[in-house]
Amino acid sequence: MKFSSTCNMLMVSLVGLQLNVIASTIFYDDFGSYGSGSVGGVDWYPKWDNNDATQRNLLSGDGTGSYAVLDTSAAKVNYHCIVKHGFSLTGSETATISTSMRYQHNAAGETPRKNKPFFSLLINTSENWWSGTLEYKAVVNRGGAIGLAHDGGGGFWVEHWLNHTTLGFSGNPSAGLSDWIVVKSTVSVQNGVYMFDTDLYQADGFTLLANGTPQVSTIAAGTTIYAGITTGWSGESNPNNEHYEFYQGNPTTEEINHISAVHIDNFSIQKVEQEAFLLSSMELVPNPEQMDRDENGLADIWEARYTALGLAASDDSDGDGISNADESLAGTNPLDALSAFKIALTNVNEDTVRVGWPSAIHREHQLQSTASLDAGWTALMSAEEGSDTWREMDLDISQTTSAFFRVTSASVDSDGDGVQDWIEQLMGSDPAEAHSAQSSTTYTDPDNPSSTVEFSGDLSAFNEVFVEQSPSNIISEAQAARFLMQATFGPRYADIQEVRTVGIEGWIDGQQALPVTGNSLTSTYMDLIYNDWKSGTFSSSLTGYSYAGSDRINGINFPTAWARVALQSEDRLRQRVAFALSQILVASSASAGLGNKPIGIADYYDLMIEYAFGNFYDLLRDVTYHPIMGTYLSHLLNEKADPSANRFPDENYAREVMQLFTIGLWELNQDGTQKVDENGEPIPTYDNGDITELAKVFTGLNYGGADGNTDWPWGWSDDWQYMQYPMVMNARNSQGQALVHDFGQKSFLGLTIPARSPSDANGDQDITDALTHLFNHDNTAPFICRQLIQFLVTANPSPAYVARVADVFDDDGSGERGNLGAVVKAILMDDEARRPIEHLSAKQFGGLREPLIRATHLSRVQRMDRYSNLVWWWWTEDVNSIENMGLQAPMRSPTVFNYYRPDYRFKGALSEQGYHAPRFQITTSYTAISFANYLWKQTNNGWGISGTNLDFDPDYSDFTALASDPTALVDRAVLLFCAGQVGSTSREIMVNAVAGLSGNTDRIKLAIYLAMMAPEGAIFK
Amino acid sequence: MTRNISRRSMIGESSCALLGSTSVLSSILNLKLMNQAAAAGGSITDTKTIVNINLNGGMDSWNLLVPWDDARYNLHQAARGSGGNDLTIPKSDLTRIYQASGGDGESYGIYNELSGIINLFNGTGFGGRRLSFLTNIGTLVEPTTMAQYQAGSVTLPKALFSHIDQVTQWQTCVPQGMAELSGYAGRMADVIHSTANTQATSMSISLAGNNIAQIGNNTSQFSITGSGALTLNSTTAGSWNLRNAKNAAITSMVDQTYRNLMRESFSSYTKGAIDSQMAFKSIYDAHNPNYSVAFPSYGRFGDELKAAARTIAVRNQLGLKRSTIFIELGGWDDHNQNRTVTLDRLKQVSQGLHAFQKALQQEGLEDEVVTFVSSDFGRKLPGNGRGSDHAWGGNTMVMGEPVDGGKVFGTFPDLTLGGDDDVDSDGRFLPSMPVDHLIAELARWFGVSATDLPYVLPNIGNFIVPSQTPQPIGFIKAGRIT
Repeated sequence: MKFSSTCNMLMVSLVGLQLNVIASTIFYDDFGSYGSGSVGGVDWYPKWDNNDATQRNLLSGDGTGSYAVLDTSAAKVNYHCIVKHGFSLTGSETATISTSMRYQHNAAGETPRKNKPFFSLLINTSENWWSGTLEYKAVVNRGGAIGLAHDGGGGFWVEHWLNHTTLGFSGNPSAGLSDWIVVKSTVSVQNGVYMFDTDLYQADGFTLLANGTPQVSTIAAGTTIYAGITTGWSGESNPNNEHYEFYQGNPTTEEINHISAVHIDNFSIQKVEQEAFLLSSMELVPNPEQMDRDENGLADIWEARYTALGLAASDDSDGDGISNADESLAGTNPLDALSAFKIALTNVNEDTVRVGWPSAIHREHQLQSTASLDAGWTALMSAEEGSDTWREMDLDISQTTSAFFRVTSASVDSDGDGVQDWIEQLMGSDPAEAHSAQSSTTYTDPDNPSSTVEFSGDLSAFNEVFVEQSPSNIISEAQAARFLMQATFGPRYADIQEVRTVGIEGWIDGQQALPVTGNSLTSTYMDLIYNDWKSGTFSSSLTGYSYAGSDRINGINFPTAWARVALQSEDRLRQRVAFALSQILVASSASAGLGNKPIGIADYYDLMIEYAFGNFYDLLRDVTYHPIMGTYLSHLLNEKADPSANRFPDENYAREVMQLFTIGLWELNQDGTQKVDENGEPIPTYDNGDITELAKVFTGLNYGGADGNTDWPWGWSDDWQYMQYPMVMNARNSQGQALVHDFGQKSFLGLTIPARSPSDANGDQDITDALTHLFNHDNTAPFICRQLIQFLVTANPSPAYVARVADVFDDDGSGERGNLGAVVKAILMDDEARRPIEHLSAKQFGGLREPLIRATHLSRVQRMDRYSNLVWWWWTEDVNSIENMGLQAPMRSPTVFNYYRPDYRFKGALSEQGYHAPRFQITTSYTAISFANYLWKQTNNGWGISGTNLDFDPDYSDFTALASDPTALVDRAVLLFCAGQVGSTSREIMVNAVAGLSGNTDRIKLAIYLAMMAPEGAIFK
Repeated sequence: MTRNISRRSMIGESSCALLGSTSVLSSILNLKLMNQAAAAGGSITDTKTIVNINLNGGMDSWNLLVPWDDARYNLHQAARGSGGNDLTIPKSDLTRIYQASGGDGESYGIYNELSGIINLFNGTGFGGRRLSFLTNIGTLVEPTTMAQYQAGSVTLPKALFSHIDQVTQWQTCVPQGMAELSGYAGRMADVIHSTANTQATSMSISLAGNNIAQIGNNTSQFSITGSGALTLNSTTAGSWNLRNAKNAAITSMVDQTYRNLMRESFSSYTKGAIDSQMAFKSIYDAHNPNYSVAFPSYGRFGDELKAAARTIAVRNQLGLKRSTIFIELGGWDDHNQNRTVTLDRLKQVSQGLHAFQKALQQEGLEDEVVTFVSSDFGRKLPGNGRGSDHAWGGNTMVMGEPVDGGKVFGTFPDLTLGGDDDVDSDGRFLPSMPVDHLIAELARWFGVSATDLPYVLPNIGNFIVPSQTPQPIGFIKAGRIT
């Protein structure tokens, strides 16, 4: 029995790059000044010249404007195009060309001509626009819409279009000036040639049109190209071709002057460069039994097996006389005195002794003897594999005067795959099959590429799932996938590579640095459809939000807004955290008359998004003042007591803001455990007196309203007009007489808010004082942090983990309290979240994935985000909806206690051992089937809404190449949905099932579904 | 807490433990466990079901049962306010009900439009009174007087006036502890299930997902919906081949055991669900009667009541001589709804109770089912301008042929604000009837022995002698408890 505590590491060639993206500006013009005949000074080439008949100046102005105005009257005459000096790209370089623009639309004469370009971004191989190879994508007027088009050879091919009303017009068509929009082209290199791809954005960054077909040019990479702008030109010889929009006066065609002006601003060319840092190679462990990453002299997996992380090697923790180090060698339990490798010798009679030893499964034992310790040992039996019993053997000693006996014990590796049987049992692989957890892998030494090592599949799986890497090392695909399960709604394969490239901390930092844009907010979609609905002419690009008989925007529209941000926004960490926060600071459209207030609901949900990395106090304050919360927990229009009418302030918000949003029911230690009194009883944080006092604080709040209207709109709560504007303190009633805020002294939780003179400001000050007191309460950090950990990482965090995160809540290192960005980072970077050994050690680690998260993850894998017109809704009563089949839907919690309680105990082993299992609360013997069926339908059909023409099919092209190999296909699905952690039995079932099908698409669907539904995929750890 | 385990239940449990790879959970749901050794037997031969309809959110039950005589009605009006957004039900909107002899002797009114409740109370159309009221019932740990409450000299329920906790306490009947993991119906199943039933189906059938009432120390619940049960075959997406491959693979995968407790729980639970839903569905779907009365059409409540009636009708085929059914109707947290909203919703309850009882009558099962209504708590008498806030004691209803109908049981409180029954002088009433009284009597009717009663209701010894007769409330007809 040999054991080396020194771990043998190999360096292998999984090289990662840490990338910092740096945009360098090649050219920028804000059109802050220009004069007749020139644009922005000397850089444009050629300068536009009003005096040149072939280059008639398109720009007019006096040089003081902040943007350029294209002179469309001149545009009638000739071609107009300008270019900017060149740049070139090679390798994987990328550049962007962008400009802001808006247009004056003339409602007249809409119908005759469509698909006429009036503005383009371009690249050209010559600095003379009239020569060279030209690639451009045009903004096109097509009557009732504008769109993006490219010349498909034979005319413009309009790929996508938008209703003019989307861009700020009151009707469609109608005359007016559009909102500013950004036209942005990305120039990149693919297969040695330039590729040119153009998208349209709102000024705040929200994507209007994207996902068009990139134009693959014939221009070789490295060629100098020139970026530029074209505007309408006459195309005299062929009015059906080219940029024609401004043309007037051709006697043979209809008058075309739909666009009467174009303004441009902020033209820029940027080269996107990446600064790369090499991440160190992944470290490999060739002998799992010897892994000792914490260097405490004890085998890590043995420590995990007995949930005994971090013991001292020289201690004897269970007092059985055998040190922890020796127990580690013998594989026995260091915390159980009855588990010890001790040999026993008894006399049976004068000729016979009985030797006994604890035989153990997965180990080989052999009884040996010797006459003298100086001599060699002789085996008295063949080495035999043990079972967990007491083994005895009687020995004839009649011929022996004296002898020494010993029993050897060594671990077994039955399949010789490098992973010992007892470890295989722990990780769920098959001890008798070398490649049961994945396929074998060949690793290469980066310093010596000709030196390779091939690991069995099970040894590869061990390394990729269980070997912790230091922060400067690249991590395995499995560990990157695991991280993304915690930090996002779930990974696609490309996401995994992104994390491996930039590292976990780099990824978190990058995500937290992303600005909140229109793409990130649910209200963006609600605004779009509200304006569309209000305009009365329905944009084809927004089809599907409304339905026959509808007279307004409905509650069912919010799921679309939610799905769009969850799937399409790049700030995936923010979205995941926001969803968690929405389940702590719960408001719901499922009751309190909020079913059809989706604009307010979206605005409320957006608070979670905006403050996901902000300060918890700010979030709490805005939640308190939000009319959705005011309605949900009824402190809106709450009045001070009128004893003569036996009327007292509503206590609802006062109670729940304490019980659920800040401090909870029981006094907590910093580690989230309950404090107890001298009788061992938990200590309530507040009593009913505190509630009645605090209820007085939340009086006098009234609708704010779009127009700052502070009248008492009793009962009036128009969604658009009132539900998306913070409530305001309105200390007096509608007659301006009786005070409705209670300005008397209030005392709760040890705070006394003094009586104040009546004013709106003093009413607000009462609320500020109360919320500040709750925010600063000792309970708030552990109460909120533990729940966030439960949502992101594990339902049963250790108290120490809670305390570490709560400490960051108390002080983020710069003295700020309540910094949620720091808290989120601390949660995700904590050892307990990151060290794989933790989830092996703690049997209760992890938790059931939320229904909405599972469905959203599947949607991402299905590439549903590629639909810019994505729509997702259902009737509340629809038994086939996720709400009824999964018991979870965005902002649809059945009560203020969320879909499930953080301390829910699920009957069985979990509750018997005192563990919480929140998400199991919505697992019933019905939903166990119904939600499985829901996911099956989505796997097959994507999102189909029966009775409409909205059908969003899945795109499984990412998997097509793997479909011919069932093992590879299953391993990929397992990587995405189980973070590579799959037992060999499940894997075998999946592979056999997939191999039994012939069609590629069916195989892909089945592999994905089974990985998602396997206990290894349903439970995340 | 210990209990005596009868030989019968020992056999049942140990055979489960041997057969089931996942012990307790699947022992309740897994059809494979239907074996001779654990089959029904013993002394129980009749068939009984308890139905609990929970009105989640705190139904404003002081407007369910309103004093009629002028002196007490005036107190109602004084406390609930008048003019505008008050909570008082005008007397013209009330129908006076007349009690059978043996009630509390007082006169009451019921909101006019609750004709179902009124007819059940009066027995109209049923051939006998079917419904009684219990007044001022609430969670208590031990008998509690106002003086004791104010002095804090007795143990009080934890987190009074909090929704989720009071809902939980009604169901656990252990209001002094917040960590109780089992409820009254689950513990009844613990002591009766293996004796009375084949154990093919859980004794606890829920139409409201997971609730604590029906979870025992050895009992899990079985959830269905108003549409009945569901199987993996219920989805028709994908080809036949593909679906079959999927179903077979899932069924195999959840048949494994896992070291990780979350995975183990998911796996064993899913397996139990697949098996039990399949078995339930085949029996349930075969019985689809056309009930002659209309169930409420709003929401799922009506469908759920109908599903409850169908389930009761097939309970013998499900192997259930004893069963409990839990139904929930939410939306009662009327902080900012006026009284009309509450009363409108009560109309659904009224119609639902009436239709359900009619359906049972049609099935010929009236004398084997007792239904009762629970809710988080009563609400405060005074309003807050739009609705009313959380309180404690409230009124409720018990229904069924075994019920001694047409009476008000208990002591209606003095509605005077700041009066003898008002705990904080603001219209919250100290319950005079503990929930334990209600459950104890139900349990005894159900066949729980006096010996087992303290196991079902750990606090019952604080209130009564378990073997006592008469029963603490007396709402079950004489002679029905043996």
